[in-house]
Amino acid sequence: MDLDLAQFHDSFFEESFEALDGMEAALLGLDVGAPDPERVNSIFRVAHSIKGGAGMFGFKDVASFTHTLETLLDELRSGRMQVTRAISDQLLLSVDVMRAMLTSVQRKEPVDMQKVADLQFDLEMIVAQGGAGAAAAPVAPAAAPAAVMNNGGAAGTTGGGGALGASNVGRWHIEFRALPELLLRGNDPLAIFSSLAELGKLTVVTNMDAVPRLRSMDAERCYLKWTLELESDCAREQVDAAFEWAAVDCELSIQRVEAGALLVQSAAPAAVQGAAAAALATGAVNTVNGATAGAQAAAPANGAAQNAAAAASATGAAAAASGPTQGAQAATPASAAPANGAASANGVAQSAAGAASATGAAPAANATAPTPAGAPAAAAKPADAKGGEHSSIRVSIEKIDELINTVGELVITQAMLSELGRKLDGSVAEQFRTGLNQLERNMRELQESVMRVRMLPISFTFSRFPRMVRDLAQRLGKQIELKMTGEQTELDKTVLEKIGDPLVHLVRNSVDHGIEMPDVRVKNGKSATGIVHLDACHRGGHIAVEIRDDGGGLDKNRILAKARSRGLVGANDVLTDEQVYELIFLPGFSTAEKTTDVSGRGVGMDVVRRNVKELGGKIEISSDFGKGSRFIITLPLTLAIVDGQSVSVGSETYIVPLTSIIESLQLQPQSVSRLSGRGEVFSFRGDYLPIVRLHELFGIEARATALHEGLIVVAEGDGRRIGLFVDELLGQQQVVIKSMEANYGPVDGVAGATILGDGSVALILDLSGLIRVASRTARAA
Amino acid sequence: MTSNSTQSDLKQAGSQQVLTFVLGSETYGVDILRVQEIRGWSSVTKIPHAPAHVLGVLNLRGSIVPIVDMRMQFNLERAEYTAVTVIIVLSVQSRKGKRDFGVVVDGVSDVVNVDDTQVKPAPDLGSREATEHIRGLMPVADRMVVLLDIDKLIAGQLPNTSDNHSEQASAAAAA
Amino acid sequence: MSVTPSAASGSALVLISPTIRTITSLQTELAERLDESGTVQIDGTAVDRVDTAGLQLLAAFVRDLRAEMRGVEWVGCSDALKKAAQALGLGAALGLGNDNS
Repeated sequence: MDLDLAQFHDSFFEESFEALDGMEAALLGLDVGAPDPERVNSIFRVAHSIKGGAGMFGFKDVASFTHTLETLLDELRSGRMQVTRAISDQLLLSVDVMRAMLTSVQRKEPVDMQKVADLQFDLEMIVAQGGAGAAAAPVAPAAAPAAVMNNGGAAGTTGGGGALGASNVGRWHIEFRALPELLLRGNDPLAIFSSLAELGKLTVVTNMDAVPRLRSMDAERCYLKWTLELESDCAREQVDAAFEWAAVDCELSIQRVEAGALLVQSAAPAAVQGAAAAALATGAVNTVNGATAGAQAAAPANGAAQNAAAAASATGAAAAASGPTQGAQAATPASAAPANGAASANGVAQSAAGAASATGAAPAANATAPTPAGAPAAAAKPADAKGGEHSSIRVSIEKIDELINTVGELVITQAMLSELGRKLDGSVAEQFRTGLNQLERNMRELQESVMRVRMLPISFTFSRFPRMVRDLAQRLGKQIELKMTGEQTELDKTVLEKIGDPLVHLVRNSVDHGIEMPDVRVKNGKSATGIVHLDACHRGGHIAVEIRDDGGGLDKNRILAKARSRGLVGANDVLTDEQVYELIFLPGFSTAEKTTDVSGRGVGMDVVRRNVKELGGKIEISSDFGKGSRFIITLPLTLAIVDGQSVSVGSETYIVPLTSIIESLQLQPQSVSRLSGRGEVFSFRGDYLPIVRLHELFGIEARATALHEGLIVVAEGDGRRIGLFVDELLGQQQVVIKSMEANYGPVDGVAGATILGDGSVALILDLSGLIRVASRTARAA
Repeated sequence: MTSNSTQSDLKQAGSQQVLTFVLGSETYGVDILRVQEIRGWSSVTKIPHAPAHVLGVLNLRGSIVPIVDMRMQFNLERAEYTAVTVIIVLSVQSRKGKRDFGVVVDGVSDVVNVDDTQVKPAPDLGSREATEHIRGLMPVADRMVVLLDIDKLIAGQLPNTSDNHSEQASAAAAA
Repeated sequence: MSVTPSAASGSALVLISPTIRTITSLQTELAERLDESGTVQIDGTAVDRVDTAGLQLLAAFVRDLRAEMRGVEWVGCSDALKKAAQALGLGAALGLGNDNS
């Protein structure tokens, strides 16, 4: 192999894997009955480019296989052959095979040629028989078996819309009301309006009626409403495209106005999916609670105005109580991950009745071919309404970490200066302090900007789920619709990488144990298709990731019975619902009647919780028996910074991460008991928690030794709760975590150190480790 | 460097500089290139379950640096830390790579050149371990300066620096 | 970035990057100003980044001020801020001039 070429191998592999992700996403989003030519084209281009690269580098097997693939795709994109469900399945298989092949080649390992040869043969047969050999005839999406993936808005209206725009004084009349969460999900109307302004002359009228008084408003929420007039001859799709990203989080009506007449177009933006009649016909399968599932949650057809009744009838969705229902959206996140085709975006009607949802789980960049332009490592800008190419660069993670470290130290220096500034007197001191305040604001800005560099949209993790759910459901014979929202919510790269496994566990659980078999569901008055909903959003300084399903929910009684039979719970113990659900986090706990090979032992929830804890987060459950379950994971936005509560013990200051703290309280001496074998305990919410005297554990001299002279911080770690006894609570602050291990080494019970405003070092506690140490010490005593 | 070097070569190779400091009644010397900083005493943050000679950690321009009391290593009496107590921050090579730590000393003296021809071997104190960290002894003016090998000195002082299993085991038990 | 002390009572409120990321501290600052009296001077010359959250908050601020018969005086305003305000249709609401172009 020519040495010169070898250096390009890495690039080729990286780009090829990304391209395959895009191809997979495009395939999953393909409407078999009416495939989007652009999408098929993009799939073709993937095969073509991988073939070219493989040929150039002499990867003969890869080149040969992709050549066959390309041939088939060429037939499809030219229309000489029809896309069928079976062909689509084979193409998906091709993706798997190619991934495996490329991985083997990259690792210089032998390729499993048997699989490759078999599939290649099948593909060649398909081509030879002109599609006839590929089993099933084109299947109407509604009859799609097993995992029904919502293809994004088969609107069908857009054809008409496009044709309409011939007039030269036309304009688009847009009513746009942001829903409160819009900004939190990373969308900004400014970006939308600037996209629109590129299409023509835009006039904006803003309505501030819903904005509360400054003091009482939640500044992160959006209370604004706009009426926009866009003088333009552009096509409806172009207007829709500007609102793609925000479609979920707003109420939108777009109408075409010709010289005088008011023509009502479809009420909701819908991405182009080609001929949609078939799609509309498949209609929505209704569920009792109004959630619309079904192949193509039909977008309101021509003429449906944006009012609840009309929309409801058109989509067949049950009561959208408070009005505007979003039609099917195929809001496709095209930008941040053109590479892996990212995840699906959905239209979820935010109605008061909760989830009258017409959904389009449409994973795919419908516009761009998966180009290797995206740079997952670098700062890809997610909220780009145009969803086109971005200029971005790949940056090594080390450089970014270095940058973050330096910024972290700047923050500390600034804190020290501010501290000093407080002590100054005199006239200059005032100006100095003002300057320092500004510096502090600048620093916070800088810090957040830098942290954002490492942040990536959660779509990178979500993107694996459409395929996974589809395959799983198929294998189990269940009908499941996956909804994903908030994919552009960003989180730190490291957190992103580690949250994948827990999420997979939880989604698998929902599919495997949560959602019932279709006949069982129907018998219970539910729709045959179950819904699993993945959602992510920012809440304060955290990310909340939620997995919701409308399956059978957790069976409290079974859980309790199991726990009792294992001696985990006393026969006469009374537990709250919350406490019962918590039981499933105990290791080895599984109430699945039969363990399926799908998710192993059915739970693994203890691992999930541990992983989440390691990320500094927590996981909560809520469930409604017969109706469904919700798992909510809360994660810090970044690992290097932690919100902490300062506590003092003697002359030492410690920081307790806020995510570990349940409550702080002062104990009365009479509420403390001594249990043999367990030391001092106190009663808290119906449980007895051990008291851990931090000063004893760490060997420091405390100011307070009598329990009522100090404070108890109820904290949790490692699945257990304790009462941490300290002298007093100092303030709460955000601290930058510095490693102890760089120069010293790991210390049990200590997560790291931080530098306080006065320059001194405070240790940050690691509750899991601390509790383990305390147990060991207690046992040894 | 060849074995048959000229007189000037030897001088070149042998001449390096050490920072000398005082601890108790003894004077010690460390390679000047390893000295990061010299600072006055400030109170340290204690590390739970650390060995007695590890006093705690300090903030050194943003890094968390452990501070060690060498008196215990050298079996000298404990002393009070006063306003003139000094901390020398040194950089060492350990198995984990480069790391910083600080030593508490009574005072810092001069920087002197080391002439290899003048260096005498460490005295036999009965066990190799006791003198492993000593490169040699060198007369300076009217004193004997104990030249220290910092890397060897720190091995065994801080966690994860030594292959000393017993040290690690006892650290684990204490934790 | 310099602080521009003003001759009026108190100093001008200096805006730097009124965006959702610093929105809570900005809200606190603005709330404090609401507690005072008299015209509020705002210096927007240093603004190079602003978003809807920031503009919404500022618009609420100006509205509340006007409700108390107080005024806002822009000591200076960067192009970025003005353009963004107008693009969002909040130019008049902020006292920055006409909207739309």
